[in-house]
Amino acid sequence: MKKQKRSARHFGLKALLLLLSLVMLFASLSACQAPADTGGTTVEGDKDSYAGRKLDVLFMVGGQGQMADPILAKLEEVLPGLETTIVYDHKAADILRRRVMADDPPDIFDVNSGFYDYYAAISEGVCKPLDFLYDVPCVDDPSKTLGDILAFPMMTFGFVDGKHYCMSDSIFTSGLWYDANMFKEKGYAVPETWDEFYALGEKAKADGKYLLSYSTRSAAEYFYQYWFNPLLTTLSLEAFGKTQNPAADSWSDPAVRKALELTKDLVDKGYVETMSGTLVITELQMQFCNGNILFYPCGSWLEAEMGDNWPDGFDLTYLPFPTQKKGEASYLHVTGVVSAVSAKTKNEDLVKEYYRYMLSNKETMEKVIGITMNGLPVKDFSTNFGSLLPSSTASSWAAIDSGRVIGYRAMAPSFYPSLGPVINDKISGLTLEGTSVDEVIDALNGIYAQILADDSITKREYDLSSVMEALANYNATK
Amino acid sequence: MKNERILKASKQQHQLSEVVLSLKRQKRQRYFFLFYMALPGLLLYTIFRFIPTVLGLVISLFNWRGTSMHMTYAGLQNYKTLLNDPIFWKAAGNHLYIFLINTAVVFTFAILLAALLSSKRLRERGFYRVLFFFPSVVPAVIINVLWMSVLNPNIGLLNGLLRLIGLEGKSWLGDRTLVKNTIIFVMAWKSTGFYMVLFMAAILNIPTSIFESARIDGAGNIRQTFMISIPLIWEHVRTSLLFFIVTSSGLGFNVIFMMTNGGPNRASEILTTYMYSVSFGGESRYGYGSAVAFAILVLTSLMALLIMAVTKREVYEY
Repeated sequence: MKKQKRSARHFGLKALLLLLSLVMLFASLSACQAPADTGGTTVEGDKDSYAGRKLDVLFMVGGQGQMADPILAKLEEVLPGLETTIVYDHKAADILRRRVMADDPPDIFDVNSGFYDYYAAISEGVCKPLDFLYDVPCVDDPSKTLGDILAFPMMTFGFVDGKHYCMSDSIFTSGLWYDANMFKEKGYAVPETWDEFYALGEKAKADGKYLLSYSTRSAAEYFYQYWFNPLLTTLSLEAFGKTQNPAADSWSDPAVRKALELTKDLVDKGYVETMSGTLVITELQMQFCNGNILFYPCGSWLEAEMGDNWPDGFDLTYLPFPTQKKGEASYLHVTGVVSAVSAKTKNEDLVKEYYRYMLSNKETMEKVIGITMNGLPVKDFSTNFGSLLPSSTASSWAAIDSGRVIGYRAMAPSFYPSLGPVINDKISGLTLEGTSVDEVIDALNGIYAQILADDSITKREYDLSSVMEALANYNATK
Repeated sequence: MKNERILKASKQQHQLSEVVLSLKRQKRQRYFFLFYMALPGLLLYTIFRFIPTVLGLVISLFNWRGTSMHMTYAGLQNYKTLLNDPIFWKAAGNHLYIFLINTAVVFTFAILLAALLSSKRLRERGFYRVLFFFPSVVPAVIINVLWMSVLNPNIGLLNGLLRLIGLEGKSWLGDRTLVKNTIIFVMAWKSTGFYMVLFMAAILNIPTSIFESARIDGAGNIRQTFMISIPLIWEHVRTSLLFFIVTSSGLGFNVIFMMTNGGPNRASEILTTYMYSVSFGGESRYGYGSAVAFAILVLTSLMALLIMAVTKREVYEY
């Protein structure tokens, strides 16, 4: 009897363990299961019906907000039966990698280019060239096509071998931002030239403030893109062009040295608030909101990003980068977030509809701009939609439209991702630890030498011609 | 008569062989039982630890951007690059510094606090136990945010207090001479309470008669701690050390990743944050990142072996 009881208990235990093992096995296998069908291919509905079709979109959480929502809502409205899925995730790049490897990529994806190598994805055939969009008729004016209205110079990112692979979802301008109200109250003159800017440093110091602060923690973006390059371009456009193309002496131009020396001089004089630059970006930006820093180099998402933190009366205003001489052209880094279309999409028609409404339907565009508070890559954007932008961003667009401020996009960190960490390290050193200008230049030339020697890295030529053309136009009309 | 003896002997032999068979059956059943008991753990370990480790090792032999399955075989090139990479060596140096000092700090304080709070004469020991254990149950992200706010150079509590007493505030996370020790402080603050509780449990298991005898012989509290408590809980300390070494890389990663991202100028970069930055931080060098990961595996194993060898002592039974 006792033996029977024990045997029954033993059997029960065995059954339980077996069940556990099966659960484990099932869980593991379901994690490795074949990707689910995203639809859109198997169900051939009526021509006017989109029942059973699905558009699959993946977005990062970032400065562009949930901008896909109004586009997808519109598509569901105009394409009856269409199902759309949208995932917004901070780790969208990781999700994308997994889905591409599982042969289940989303139709459209917009992930942070700082965490995803778009250029590698393009060369490995993950992205589809956008040529198929150019013949698509516009929604509001069908006599025009998307190819007619797209502002291609704004779409430099992802331009490879004469083809555009990336669509700018939201175009950000950048610049030196300041509080116009504080300038009025304190009697500071808004500087136009470097000398006026520099002179303001001493006045700020006397008032217990700093002229400037930039992120050393994210120097490859905030220092390099919004401070160093605008300064370098005002010193020498050619020198800037050289730094975009790897060569043994790309960084040895005297203008590069001067830009670094001018920056170091500001640090040495105590005009730069260096402690906050090591913090996360929003903590640094709080110093700017609190009025401790006069100028902050950043992208035009700043106003939206700091949301409710702006104190009452803070008048965020764009300052064209101070030039060496009065009346010279100033430059502005145009950046943005981009989306791409999966090369394996089976929903090309739906993708066309997505971009058609995003770029050529005023109702949808206004909703999108209301979310991103920044530009779209269409011609005459500032004229048609400038009123929808926050005043700070609108003033930077107006400056570009005036011709005096020329927009460009520095591409070297995107072409060569190993450049970014060197900039981060050396600019931290220059700002915080007494690293010399020579050491910075040597390190930057050093990483370019490594890139040149590495055959696995594709060398891409940076084309400065459109910027030179814009400069020539400005000089002719001056 | 003879037949009877033969019959009895044969019966005995039969009984013996039945006993042997039964023993063998029991042994087999026991093996099956142990196998089934270990199976879930083995499956988990194989799927989530062993296979990824082997895959990581394989990936380290390739150049891979992680954007598709396109990989190019690189042989040992990633390991050669690793050996000539000054940032890797700087990160390795920081890694060793932070973990050795952190281990020493955590275990010294945990043992001393455990000895102190095990004393029945301390009436508030329950309160202190909760107080010191509290950081161990708070999620790491919250702890990091909390300390980032306390250590903020402009609006932080610490600099505020320093300024209140007329001292100059510091950039605790932005100054390369301070950042490593600041991080050690935060990591130690998070971990000490957990190990304190483990050691308290071990100390409270020591028979009180041993302490009473020592007290009669004239041993004071400090002498009792060093001559009785610590030697008798030494095996617990060694096991905890091993656990600490294996897990502290993970804790170090999330503290450093959130608080400094390895900066300023790599002053707080450790191997795990470096591995993350070369793989996921924009460079997308997954093959090289896997080589760094393998170096972490080797380094952690060596550290564990070294510490286990150094701390080996005679085991006292009580």
